[in-house]
Formats: sequence, C-alpha cells, structure tokens
Amino acid sequence: MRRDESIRQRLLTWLLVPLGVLLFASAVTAYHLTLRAATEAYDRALLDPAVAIASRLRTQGGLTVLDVPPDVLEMLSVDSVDRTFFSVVRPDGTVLAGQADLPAPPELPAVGTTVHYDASYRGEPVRAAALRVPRADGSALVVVAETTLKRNRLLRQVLLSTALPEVLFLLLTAALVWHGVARGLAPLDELRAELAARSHRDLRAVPEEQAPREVRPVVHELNELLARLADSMENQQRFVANAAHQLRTPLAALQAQVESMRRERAAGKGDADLERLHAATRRIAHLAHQLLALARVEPGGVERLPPQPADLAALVAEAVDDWIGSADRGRIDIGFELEPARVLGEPFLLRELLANLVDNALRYTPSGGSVTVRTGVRDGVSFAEVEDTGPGIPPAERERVFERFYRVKGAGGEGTGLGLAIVREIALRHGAQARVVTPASGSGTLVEVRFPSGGVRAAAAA
Amino acid sequence: MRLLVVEDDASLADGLCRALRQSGHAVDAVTSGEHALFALEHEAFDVVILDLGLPGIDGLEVLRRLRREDRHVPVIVLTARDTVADRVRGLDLGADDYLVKPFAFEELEARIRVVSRRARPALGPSFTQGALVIDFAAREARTDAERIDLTGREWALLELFLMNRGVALSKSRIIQSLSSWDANLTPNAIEVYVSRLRNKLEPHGLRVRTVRGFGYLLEQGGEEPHAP
Repeated sequence: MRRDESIRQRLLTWLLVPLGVLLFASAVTAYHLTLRAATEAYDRALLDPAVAIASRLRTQGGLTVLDVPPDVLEMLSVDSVDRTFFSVVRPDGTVLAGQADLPAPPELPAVGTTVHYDASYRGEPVRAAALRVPRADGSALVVVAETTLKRNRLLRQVLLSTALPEVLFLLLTAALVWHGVARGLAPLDELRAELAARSHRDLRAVPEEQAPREVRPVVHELNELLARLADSMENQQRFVANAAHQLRTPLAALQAQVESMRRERAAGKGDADLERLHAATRRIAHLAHQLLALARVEPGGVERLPPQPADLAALVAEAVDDWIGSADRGRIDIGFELEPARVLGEPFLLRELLANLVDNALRYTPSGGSVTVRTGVRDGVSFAEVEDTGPGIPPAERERVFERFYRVKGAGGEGTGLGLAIVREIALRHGAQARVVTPASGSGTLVEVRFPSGGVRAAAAA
Repeated sequence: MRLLVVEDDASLADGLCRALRQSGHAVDAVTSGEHALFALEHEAFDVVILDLGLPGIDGLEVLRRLRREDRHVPVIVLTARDTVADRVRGLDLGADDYLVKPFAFEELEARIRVVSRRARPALGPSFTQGALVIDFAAREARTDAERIDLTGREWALLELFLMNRGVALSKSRIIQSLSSWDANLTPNAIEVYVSRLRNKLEPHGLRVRTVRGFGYLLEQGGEEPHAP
C-alpha cells in the first residue's frame, strides 16, 4: 500500500477490479452454459437420422441388410446449412451404405449405446454420432456426421449475445461506482474546500457535526490542534504586548534625553557624536515601533474591531501634515491624487498601511525626487498606491520585498525592512492585494494595494 | 506656551521637560494622576501631555474627570500600550491626539502646535509677521510703508490659513469654508484666489505653499523647513 494513495483511488481499485473479475467470470460461465445446452440439442438432433437408419436394418439370410431406398438416404444429407454424411457398417465390416471413409469413433460405444465425437472429414471439421446396434450376426455401427457450420454460427451468436451485454454492464458498473465513490467522498471534498478557503489567521474550529461519522475523530483532533495553536498564538501575542509595553517607555526616555542634550548643545556648535547617537536612537525607536506594529497585525492578534466603512482618500487627507514634514526633511516633493475609495475595514490599521507605504517611498527616494499618493476606484476596485522616483525594485525582488527584514540590495536608507511586511499583513487582513509594479513613467517604484472584496474579508473572518 | 507633562517615568519626564524648555515652553511636570488633577485645578495650561500608564489614578481616569468637569484644555495622550482599543478609548474620552511611545520629538512638537491651535481657533484681534500687521477688526493688512488691499474672498481665505498655520488644507476643505461667499466655488477658482493672495503676502514673509494634488499650506517666515 503506497502512502500517497488516495482513498478515492483505493475505493475505485477495490471496487472496480473485483467487480470486473466477477463480471468477466459470469460472462464466461454464461457462455459455456449456453454453449453446452446448444451443443446437446444439436447432438440429439444428429442422433435422429442415426436412429432412423438403424430402425431400417433387416436380417436377410442371417446377414444384416439396410432396407432404405437410396433416394430416402439422399434426403438425409439435405440441410440448408451443413452437409451430413453417414455410413452403415455391417458386423463383418462391410459398408452397407454411405461413405466408407467416414472416420470411425475413437472408441467403439458399448452395444446398444451411442457416442458423440469430433473428427475431421475431407479436410473439414465434423461432429459425428455413432450408434452401435445389436444384430443377430453381431453388432452394426451407424455413423452420422455433419459439418460444423451451424454450430460455429451458434458459437458466434452465443459469444456475441453474452459478451456485448457484459461489456455494457461493465461500463455501466464502472460509471455507477465512480459516481458512488465521488458522492461518498463529497463530505471530505467539502471539508477540504472549507480548510483550503481559510486564511492562515482563521483558527476557528471546523464544525464537527457536519463531518461524516468516520471523519469526525479526525476533525475533532484537528480542532484540538487548532485550539492549541490559537492558545499559543494568543500567549505569544500577550508576550509581545507586554514586551512592547516594557520596551516603549525606556526607548521614549532615551529619545527624549538625547533630544534634550542635542537641543541644549545646539546653542554652541553641532556635536557629531551626539548627532550619531540621535540618529541611532531614531532608528532603534523606528525599528521597535515597526516590530510591534507587525506583531499586532499578525494572525492571532488579540485585538480585532468590527469593520467599519472608511474612505482611503479621507484617511490619506488626515495624515498629509505628518508626511509633508518628513518629505520636507528629505527635500522630496510629495503630491496627491485623491478620489474617493470606499472600503470596509479597520481604519486604524488602514492608516498604518498608508503610513507605511508613504514612509517606505520617502525613505528610498533621493533628495529632489517626488512621491505621489493616489487613491480611487479602478475597474470597480478601490485602491491606494504610492509612486516614487526612487531607484526602483528589480522585478525578481518585487515579491520578496514584502518579506520581513528583506531589503533591496544596495538600496541604502535607514529602513527596517518591515514596512512592506506590515503593509501586506494589513492588506491580507482586509482581503486586499499588495504588489510592486513599474510606474507608467518607466522608472521608480509603484506599490499598489487593491481591495477587490472592498475589505469585507475582515468582516467575514472576524 | 505653558505645558503640563504628566509622566511617571523619571527619565522620560526629565528629557521631555528639558527639550520642551529648550523650545521655549514653560513646562511643569508631575508624576501621578492625583498631582495632575491638582495642578490642573489650580493652574492654567495650554496643553497637557498625559501618559496613560500612571500609578494610582491612571491617565484615562484623569482624562475622564477632566472632561466631566467640562474643562477643555488640549490633551495629548502618550501611550506605551499600543492597542487599537486603547487609542480609541483615549480619543473617545476626549484626548485631542495621541502619540505612541517611542516617538520623535519633532512629532510631539508638531502635535502640540496643532492641538493648541485647534483649541483656540479664534484669532486674536490682530496678527503680526515681521513688519506685516493684519488687523482683523479693521479688516486691514498693512506694513509701515504700505497698505495691502484684499478682497472679501481673499480675507476669508487669509483668515482660514491663519487659523490653520502649518496645517495642510485640502481644496475641498477650503471650498467648504468659503462656500458662504460663493455657492459655486470650483477648485480652479480657489487656485486663482490663492495665487492672488500669494502675490500679495509673499513679499511680507507669509508663504502659501502648494501641496501637489491636495491643497495649500501657510508657512511663516522662519518656519521654513530646515535642512536635515
């Protein structure tokens, strides 16, 4: 038994092969039974002229003679299909009538009995009946033989009339078994479809009552596993939340301390060490923030608010001030093309998604470049996208940039490699797709997030 | 501006106070909710920077009591508990803004500016920028040397910009604010008014900056974006 064998395959094999063998055996049996009955009927019919001839044997002068007019004998051999031959042999071996060279039976029958046998006569197969008749002068032998054309035709008919229905039966049976197995396995297919359609963040129990009795224990164990998984994810999430809490305040303190030192000394001239410390503090604060944001939107994230209607354009408009500041610091021209783009979702997370898209673009766009934020509806699908005039992302890396900590080689910048991972997690949570494409201008990067389901997956999975 | 920092982490409170004082603010710091309520009862502050995770009466409770007593001092909430539920609760209880720790100091300053301005949308009787004096009562803008003529719509636009200094205003918001003047203002008309206003004010240190595809932003001289 192979491990990768499917239940469907096994059922089909174990049903179709034995059924096929049984059907074949029954066909063979039917063929032989029919053939035997027919052969016996022909054999009996073959005996009739032998008996008729035997009844015309007379005794003349102590010797056996045949008292049949030759034309009557002629009639014996008339048949529409087969030719019939006969011979009558006196006890002393004299051939009284018929063909002297007709083959004798392989074994002489006992006196007063008959025997049937197959033989060949004048190059043709024949079926013969021999009758040994007791006479006063010994025993006479009457042999009647006929060619086998009728029998062969019967053979073909029997073969045809048994084989053809059997083949049809076999096909019908195969179709029924196939259908039956499919029907029988349908609940498994449904279970498979239900599991396949789930997102990796959906750890709800699979309904056990709907599963067939045989599969229920498996589903039960699966549910236990899902429950354990959900538990451990929740624990991890709680740990992250606690760690976040413990980490945030000291980091904020570090940042504030560095900032105050920087400001106090700025009165004199800039202190390079302090500037480096300041930059490093910013980076670690940003990294902590991104890590925690990612952990928060990961599957198993304990918080989930009921989805509500939101307009991506309005969410962008709210954050414009924040981004103008960052863009100014990098001497980047930031622009907007905002059309209403309604989605159903979690506005806090959508803001985070947009902020990460823009932050990512601002980080990797060199001074003097531009970043454009667009929202709207295209082909009936709400979208948000951010285009920049940065170095662009090679096509081979466009999928990988959504992985955690993946950074495009040689891109520089102070990114954490988490921004687009956060974008994708939040997109997934809203049933949206995030992807990187080449802008119409031919250079730079365009990250697009489309909400084909209007974000309603969030509602369905909540 | 007079600020109250309510933060129990000594190091963070100290850093914040020093940096904010460097920026020219008058800063008081307390380390508990009780002290915060006491201070707010006896002194007037322009903005409160409130940590949520305080010993004793926590930040949310301070906020709740403050708003229950109908006091509208702007509050910026600092939180280490970055859960959506916490943020929503803070805003529901009447926080004007929130910042998740850790935060960049410029961000805190920007939000202090925004909430304090939002809290006092009415402008004083006049506004001064260098030699430029804008007298709202007399509806007159002048420098020592000359008088700047402004049409009614230009006045409305200028008032809107001055009430929202440093805040990017979308064209649709400008249209909404000016719709009492003209029911059929189009984005193109706004562009025309802005361009006229810009020509009249720019020589005097008030710059109306275009935010591409979005709207406009009034920048005062000296508030220019500094080099990174």
